[in-house]
Amino acid sequence: MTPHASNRLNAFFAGWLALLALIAPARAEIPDSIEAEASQNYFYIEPSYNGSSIVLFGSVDHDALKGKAFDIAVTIEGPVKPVTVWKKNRRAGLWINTESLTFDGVPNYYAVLSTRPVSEIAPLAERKARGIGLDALSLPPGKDGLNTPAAAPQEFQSALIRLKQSSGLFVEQSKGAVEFLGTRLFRSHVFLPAAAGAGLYRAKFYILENGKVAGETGARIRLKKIGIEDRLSTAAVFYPWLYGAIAVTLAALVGGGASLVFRRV
Amino acid sequence: MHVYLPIAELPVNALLMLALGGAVGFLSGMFGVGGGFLMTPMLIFAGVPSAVAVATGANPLIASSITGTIAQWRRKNVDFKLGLILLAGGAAGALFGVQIVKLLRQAGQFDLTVSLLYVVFMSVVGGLMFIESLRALRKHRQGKPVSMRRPAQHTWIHGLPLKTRFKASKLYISAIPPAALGILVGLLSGIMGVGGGFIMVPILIYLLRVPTNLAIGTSLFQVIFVSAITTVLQAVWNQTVDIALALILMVGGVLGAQAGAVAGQKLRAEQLRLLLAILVLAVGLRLLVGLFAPADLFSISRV
Repeated sequence: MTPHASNRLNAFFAGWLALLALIAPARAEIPDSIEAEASQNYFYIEPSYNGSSIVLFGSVDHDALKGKAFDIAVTIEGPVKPVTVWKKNRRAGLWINTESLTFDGVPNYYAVLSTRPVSEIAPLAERKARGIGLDALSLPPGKDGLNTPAAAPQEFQSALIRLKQSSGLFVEQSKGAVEFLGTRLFRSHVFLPAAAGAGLYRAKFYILENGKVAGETGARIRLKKIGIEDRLSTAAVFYPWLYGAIAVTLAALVGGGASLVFRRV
Repeated sequence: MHVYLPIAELPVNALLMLALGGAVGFLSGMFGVGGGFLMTPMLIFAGVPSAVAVATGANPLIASSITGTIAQWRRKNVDFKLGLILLAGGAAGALFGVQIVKLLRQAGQFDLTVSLLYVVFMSVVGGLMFIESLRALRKHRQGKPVSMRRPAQHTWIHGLPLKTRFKASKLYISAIPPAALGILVGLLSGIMGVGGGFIMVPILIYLLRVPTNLAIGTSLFQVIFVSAITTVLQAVWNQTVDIALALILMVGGVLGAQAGAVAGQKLRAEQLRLLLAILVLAVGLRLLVGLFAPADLFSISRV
């Protein structure tokens, strides 16, 4: 064996050892009873983009579960951004935004898909630790968010969740949301609306038994603008003067061109 | 057919936007106003975020006002001297307007301000146009000639200094009122995303006594530059100009403008002005309802 090859072999083993060291403690806590992935990790926004159909699939290890009854819950969330919630109050007959609360990290899209309604799967306290369900989401208010602390933060959080739900960006689904193909393999399908926007999405898969999380795993999905969509939104932010000049030039060409074409009128 | 807008970050129905641009262009071709005052609220009703609607509204106006100006210039209906004074004021006004948009957005009062401005201007302009067109219709029925130009009267405007001769408009007035009018229109252009023709034309006609044809031509001329300045400033300071949306709107707009110009020559002007007045009042009323009876007390905005 050449020294070069043996070095490579050593590095290979060292890598495996490091990986085992990472996995081992996790293994001790929760049995590795669930494995899952997204059928596609990259989605692209082109001019014809009108949402993505995401298929998530996974399998459960019945040996680790020892034949007990279990539930599956899948959450998908992303891209996380600060959001301000405004509340209107009546001032001089008009409804004016007077109170506001800024939440530091709100996923623009959040979905929870489960075999049964989340409230039946596990108690709120257990779900709150991992954000399983709309009622279990923790959306921390920003430090200097509140303009007028008349209303409780809960009022703003529930308004935020309600508005997101009505625009189809927060979803909670249990009926037919997770389907089993046989006894081990499960599949979950979710439609990501176009308004969800580009960025990183995290999918988390939980196996729950007896109201407790018995195993979890995750996957990442990235939604990217490509081609003209990417170039335009990049230019708008990084070269705003050029972008503005292009917008004006384009309009001048369309206007001038129309004058030439329709000269008779 | 859907097109994903890169800045608004949502898909829109391209045919619907083309039709919207076309309808606004049709009106502008017929009446000689930019039509931005209808474009921006319509975009907001169609679900485009208000910041994007306002910033993008001014962009297609450049195209339609260029076409309009060229057509008017061929008929010698542009007073360039008056236009340049209006323009100087307009540039200064637009500069302030776009800054105000940024401040209002931070304070969460942007949507309210835009709605209020629209309600005020739409009811005033729509109301005046409604009354004026009814009067013109009545006169027409009595067989009297219809003229929008009023007899020359001596008003406070004629007492102002810096008097200049505007040959094309056959006027000898102070340069201050046109400059002030330019500032007002530029300000509105920055805040509301409109060219301001619907305010400028009546003021030029009724207050400064500019002949109707020249008021329309000159207003269109200065709208080109004020909307170009507004577009660049919105792009630089607010980064909410959506070129894809603007392109669809302006293609519809120039096509609609041609159809509107043809229709305008064939149809009775007073009746069309009455219809436009009703349309303007209806949009204003719809916005007014939102101010007094909001659909939801809560709203969300990205920081």
